[in-house]
Amino acid sequence: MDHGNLKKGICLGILSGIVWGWVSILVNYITGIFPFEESLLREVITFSFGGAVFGMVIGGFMSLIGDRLPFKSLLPNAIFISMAVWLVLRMGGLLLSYNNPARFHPDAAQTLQGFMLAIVLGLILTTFWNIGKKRDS
Amino acid sequence: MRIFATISQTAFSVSPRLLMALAATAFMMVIIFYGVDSFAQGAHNAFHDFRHVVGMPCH
Repeated sequence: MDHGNLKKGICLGILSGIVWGWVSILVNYITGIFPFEESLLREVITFSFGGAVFGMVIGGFMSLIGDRLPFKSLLPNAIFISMAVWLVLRMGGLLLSYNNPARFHPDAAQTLQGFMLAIVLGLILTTFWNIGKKRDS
Repeated sequence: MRIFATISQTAFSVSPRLLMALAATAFMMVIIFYGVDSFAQGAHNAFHDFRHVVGMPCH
């Protein structure tokens, strides 16, 4: 596995994150779990930016610690890192809900959707990683 | 900067600038995912729908 190049990981993470943002819009549109409150253009912009930030962190972690994880192939590593970062963020959200339930009320369906989307990000990142590896060789 | 140089050289053998950029992005990620207006005014409203869709608790 080629995990060593942080710059490559960050770039692929940003790319994957942007695509993941669009996929998230599509998935939520299909499931209807959260009714969008803004225009499609604004959703595309915010989801692209939010996805790029999340993807960059996942791609960066993939480069930094991917080869230290027990899994031998890219896919479980990417899914593990994506799920782990999402879970850490969700645990923080749980604390916020606990402290101020009126302000931060949790929603089981949205939580499940977010968890599944974290797995999807792992899949997208692996796809881009493999494409990048083929282009390098 | 020195602490990033030390961490990046001893633990990861990567550029401290890239590591710092990653840390800054991770911080930005927290602001977006929790909508921390006290750090970035408007972060809550700008990423409100994004936060709901990715499963973070919100009002």
